[in-house]
Amino acid sequence: MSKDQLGEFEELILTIVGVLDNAAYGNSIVKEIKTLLDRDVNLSAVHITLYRLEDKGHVKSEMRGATSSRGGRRKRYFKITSSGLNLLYALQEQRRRLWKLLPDLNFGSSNG
Amino acid sequence: MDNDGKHIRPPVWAVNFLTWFCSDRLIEATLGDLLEQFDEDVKTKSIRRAKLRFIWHVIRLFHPSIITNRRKVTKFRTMGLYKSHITVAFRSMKKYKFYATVNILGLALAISFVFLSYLFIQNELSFDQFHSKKDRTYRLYGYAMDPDSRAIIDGDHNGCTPIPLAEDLAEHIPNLEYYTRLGSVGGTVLKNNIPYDEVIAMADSGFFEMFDFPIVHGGKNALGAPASIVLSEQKAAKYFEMLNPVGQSLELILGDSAVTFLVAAVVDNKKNNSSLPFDFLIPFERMKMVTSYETYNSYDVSFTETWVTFDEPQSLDVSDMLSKVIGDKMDVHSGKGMVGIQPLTDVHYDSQIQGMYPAANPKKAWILGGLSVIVLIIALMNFVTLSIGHSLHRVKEIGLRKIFGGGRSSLKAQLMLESLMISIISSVISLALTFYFLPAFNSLIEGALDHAILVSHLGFMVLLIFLISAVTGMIQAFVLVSFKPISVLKGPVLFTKKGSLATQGVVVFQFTMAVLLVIGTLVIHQQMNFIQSKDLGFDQNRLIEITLHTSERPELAKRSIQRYKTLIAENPIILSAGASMNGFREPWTQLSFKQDDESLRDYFFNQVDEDYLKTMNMGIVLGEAFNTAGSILPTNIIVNESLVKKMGWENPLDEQIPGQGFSRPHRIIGVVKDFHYGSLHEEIKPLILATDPVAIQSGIFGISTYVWPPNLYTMVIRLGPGDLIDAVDYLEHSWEKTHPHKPFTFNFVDEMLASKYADEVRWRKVTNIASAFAIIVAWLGLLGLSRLSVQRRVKEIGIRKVLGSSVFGITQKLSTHYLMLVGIASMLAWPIGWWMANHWLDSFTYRINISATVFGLSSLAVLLITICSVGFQGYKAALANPIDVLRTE
Repeated sequence: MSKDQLGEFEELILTIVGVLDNAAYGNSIVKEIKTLLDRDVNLSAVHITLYRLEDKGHVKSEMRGATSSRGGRRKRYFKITSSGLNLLYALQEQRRRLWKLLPDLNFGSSNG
Repeated sequence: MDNDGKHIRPPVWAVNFLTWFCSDRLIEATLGDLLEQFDEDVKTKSIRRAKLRFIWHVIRLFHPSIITNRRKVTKFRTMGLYKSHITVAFRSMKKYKFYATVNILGLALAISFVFLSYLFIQNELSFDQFHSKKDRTYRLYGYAMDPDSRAIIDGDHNGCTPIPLAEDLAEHIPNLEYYTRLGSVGGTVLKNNIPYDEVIAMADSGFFEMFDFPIVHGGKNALGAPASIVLSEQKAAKYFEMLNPVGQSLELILGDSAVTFLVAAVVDNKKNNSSLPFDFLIPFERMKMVTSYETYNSYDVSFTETWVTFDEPQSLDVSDMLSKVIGDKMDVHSGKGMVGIQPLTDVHYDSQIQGMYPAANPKKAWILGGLSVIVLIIALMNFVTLSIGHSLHRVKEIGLRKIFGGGRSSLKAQLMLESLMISIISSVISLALTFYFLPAFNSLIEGALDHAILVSHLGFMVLLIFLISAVTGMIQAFVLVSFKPISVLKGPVLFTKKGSLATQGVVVFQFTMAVLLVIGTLVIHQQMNFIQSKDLGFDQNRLIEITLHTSERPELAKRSIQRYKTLIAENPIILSAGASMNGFREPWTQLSFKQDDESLRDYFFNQVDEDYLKTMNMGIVLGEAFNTAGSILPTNIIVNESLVKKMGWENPLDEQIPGQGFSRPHRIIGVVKDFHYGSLHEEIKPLILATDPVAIQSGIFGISTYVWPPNLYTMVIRLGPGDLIDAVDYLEHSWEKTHPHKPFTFNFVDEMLASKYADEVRWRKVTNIASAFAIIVAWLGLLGLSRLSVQRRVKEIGIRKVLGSSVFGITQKLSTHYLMLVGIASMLAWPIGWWMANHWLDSFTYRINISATVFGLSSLAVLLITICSVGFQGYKAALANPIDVLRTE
């Protein structure tokens, strides 16, 4: 079920689109990742991933909000869809289940 | 913003590139994001880094998901659009019949021409390719190497090698798998007591192991028995009709004896695809019937080819290995005789090494290929410029489509589709044209392309169609679609400054090609006329050559010749007759004499009888001809002017031909005026004439010849005024009386000489036709373009007329511009044409000088074509009533 599988980068972008809620477009996503995770991501890579997520139906987009710094071009704002949100929940649930199976390792700490 | 307050922009090309490949849906937001990022980078980083990052972003975006991103629903929409595009394309063709016709016709002509040339080149390249052992089969050739410096002496690469060579090599070289010698002689085939002249080829039994000629009847070991003969399909049909002739007998006369052969096999000799032409093939040992024992075993005489097949491909540098075997037996002229190998697949095109059959000129294929590329380019240019120019009518449609939301890709698709449709229609028409022209084309290039080849190469045609539509569609699409709707609605695009410059470039290019082609056609025409009317040094008119089928014994031969001469002399129309050893079909015998310094000197030689010079109307410059009893002595010779000049003799009559081996002195009794016995491509070489070979025979050190041993093999007969047909009938009738079992074969000497230039004549025709094709296609384009430019100016013309301009004045006004373009094109074409014509003429020793009239005429011709099309269009426009064109505004 490739539709329910996400790569690490795809998941990151999808999450950030959810986080930014209504303000997610290429540049804002790059900035958000930088501020939240201190990670440099390539703008073009973000674009390619966004369009792929759109094709899979996890995000939807609309055009609005032109500014002069963009030469009057509108932005394509992305919004997470319910299927995208469900997928994130599902992934979260999966991870939680796996997490539970992890033995209580404490690597030498006395009160685990 | 940078410090100067000037707005920093990312590299334009990167933006253009992104706009080009990015899908329409994504471009706005994507580019916007990149620009925003760029602005920020400019603020936080250096400008250079910002630009680099921008470029890097663009490159990263060059990704399939960006290029082809489209909503799934759009697919259904475009499906419907394709149908609509096709309808629109048909409507547009119907509405603008003129453009559609010009485009389609031009393209169809070009495609047919390209297709035909392609077939021809394909056929040429497939020569000798059908032999499975072709990569390890070689022809041996002899050449000379300076014994001291070991430098190869130029000009003496001989594709014919001595007869004993093959057997000696086979004995000493273990990895030589098969060999065959290949010779050919004239012979007579007797069928139902009727004699036919044929060329009989001879080969060893390895022949059919080495070469894969398809065997129709019989087996592969066909040349095993001494009395076996192999026939080509054509000759089998000639002598045995449709029956399978294997096992039947065929009577052959070779030399003086008749032998009955049994047909062992019939093969397809792949006449048009093989460098080894043969119609009859008999075992090589039969060569002994027509040559002396000495010749058959001599290393000094070469008139047959030797072919070998090794067990694996060899490097071409095997001369040392081969020379070790033959030692010093071969002495090719002045140097040490060496033997090299030439791959089978090179034989067809390598004219450096001449064997028994002339090599083809690879230039032919190049010339034809080049011409067809020119024709295609002209047609494509027409197609593109006309389509863009035609957008005069279409821009409004395109502008409206854009306004109503037609995306760039859909517009591109529409234009591509229209190009594709026009190319497909043209191809269908050109296929019909090709089919129709194929027989004519065949007779032109002396090829044997059949309609089946046409079908088997349809793939090429399909490729061509897609290439054409891709190129033209793409160019059109980019030019037309890139305009903004508003400017498109405002006015035509072709006549912007940039657009008209491109159009003029196209016109100049086409004119240049046209002028060049006309120059080429004229120069070839003049040179061929010059050659055909050149004084040859003898009178070639009303001169007949007949083949004598001479007896091997000279005294018998002389007696029968004398009998025939006496008989025909009774008819007053026959002025005189003279016999000779060499005729005009083959090159004359070449002999070499060893000089005191051990080097060899070449002379051409012909044995003639006492009436030969008189019959040929050859002039004697000094001394006398063989016409008195005292002059016809076995030791008397006549030389030509070139020989005297080369020797630098003051008193040639007192001289001797220098040479070591002469056992007795000869006497030069006369000097004959130089006459052309070879091709006019070459200059006249030193020549010796004698009534008896005894005069010089003892000095002969090497021979290269088609005709040997010396004897009188042909006869020339001079006819006086009167009916030629009666004369030939009389000659034939007399021949049957004196030579009842020999065929009567005659040729007119002037025709034989003309046939030596058949190749040039044929290429004259090919270039004529190619030029015609190119000029017609260019003319079609011009017609379209001039019509466009006239249509653009109808209102101007109307106003001019209202203000009092004359029809002539307006026509002149409209044409002047094009006349100027012809001028520019001529300036470009003249030097190129001059250079190319000179290059070609240099291959002739006797050539014309290119006159200025050629250039004048060529430009005049193109000028006339221009006036015919442009002037006509202008004239038509000028005749129109101004009210019709002006009232709409």
